[in-house]
Amino acid sequence: MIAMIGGVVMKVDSELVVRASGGDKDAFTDLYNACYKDLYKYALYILGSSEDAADAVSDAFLESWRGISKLREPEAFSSWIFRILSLRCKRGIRTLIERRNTFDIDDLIEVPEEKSAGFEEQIAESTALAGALAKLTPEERMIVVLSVLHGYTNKEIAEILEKPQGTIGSKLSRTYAKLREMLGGENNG
Amino acid sequence: MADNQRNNFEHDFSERLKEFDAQIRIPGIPDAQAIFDRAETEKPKNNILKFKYIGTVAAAAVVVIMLVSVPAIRRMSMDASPKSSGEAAMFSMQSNEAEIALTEEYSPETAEEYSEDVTNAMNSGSAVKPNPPTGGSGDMLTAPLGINSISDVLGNYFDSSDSDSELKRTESNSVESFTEYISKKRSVDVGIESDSVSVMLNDDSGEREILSAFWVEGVYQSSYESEGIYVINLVSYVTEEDYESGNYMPLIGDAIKGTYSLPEEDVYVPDAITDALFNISININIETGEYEIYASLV
Repeated sequence: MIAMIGGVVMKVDSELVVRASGGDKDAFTDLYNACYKDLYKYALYILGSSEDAADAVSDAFLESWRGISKLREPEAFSSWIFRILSLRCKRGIRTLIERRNTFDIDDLIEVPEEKSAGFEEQIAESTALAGALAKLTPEERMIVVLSVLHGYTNKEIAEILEKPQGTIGSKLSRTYAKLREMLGGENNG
Repeated sequence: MADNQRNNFEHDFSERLKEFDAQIRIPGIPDAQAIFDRAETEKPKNNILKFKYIGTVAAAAVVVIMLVSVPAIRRMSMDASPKSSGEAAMFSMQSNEAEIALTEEYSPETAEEYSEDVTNAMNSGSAVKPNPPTGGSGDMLTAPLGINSISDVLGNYFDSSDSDSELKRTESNSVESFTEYISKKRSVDVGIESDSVSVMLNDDSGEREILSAFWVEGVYQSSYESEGIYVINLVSYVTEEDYESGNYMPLIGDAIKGTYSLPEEDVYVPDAITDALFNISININIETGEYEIYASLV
């Protein structure tokens, strides 16, 4: 049984959730291994630091292990842990402020082989995208990443971030407008 | 046509972001056993954390403007306090209280019972613009509109003087970053860099939580607590190069609004200046975390 509620990327076996909620560490470990990469990348987009992202994910899993026995709907696990992680990321605001909002995700991507075709274009593309993401606020990054990369609907994002659905819709529109202004260029006009 | 362009962009951006996402380097997944070990060794944090954000610090703004601009009024203002100032009524008030319950039962339908909304809290903790001071011949805090804009005053200054702002720009205060415990409930972390200051007001009454967090461009000068307001003073020098590039307004950053310039309406602009610097004052309401940032061009 695959839980598909919310999101299209992070697929979670709800049977594992049921077992984990009963205290099965092996099942929780499987959940952990299945979800870690997606959650890490989400935190990385928000916090812009690999160390902070790893800490936030660790905290989120700790919180979820402690609270999973009270999760009533196994199918809601994905959105539930995204929610916990979102909260943890918001608490990561301290380090973000201390770094003066710097967002160094461009240092965190895999740099392609220099000899490969289109090397320079790929670097330029990644740098431009990272620069645009860096100019968004953490909340805007949360919304756009949950929407674009994880396939959540505005309603689901509203539940994860505890915002009115209309607010998510308008913020997503404004975020796209900002991105278009920054990235528009000749290819997107 | 516009809709098509918008849709095309959103589709194109989606593809670009997915390609970018695929390039993100992911470190090895830590052993899950570390989670179970932490669960056994670390005490759970408070289940309920309260954040209270109430209103704006009205009189503080007035006090700051006075302190940084008019010495005669500065003396008078020493007795002014947020509680006693009649100007408080000029400013809008808002409140927000959010609670978090980290290990309560969760389901999407009961989402609002499950967790806090720090973002709301941070939003309400960010600077709230006061109503503009009323004009009039007796109003020393405002200048005739259009005559002395920041740009005009700086332009006149650089046109007519041998500015030494470039040298002053390198001056820095030797004070290091510090944490000050204001009370048993509140502390403030002030991170001092050569060109900016980060400020975090913490609620220490339970789990240490942030009530306000932001950074401001400028060189740290001093700070003090008075009448429930924590005041931090900075200076930010303007060079001729800054002026000519148009990038002379001090920058502010927080996690909600990102990085933005100090609004011009929050700067007192005299008819003429002598140093081409901004005296910047940050006023933080110790109880609520609300803060205001004002400057005076000198």
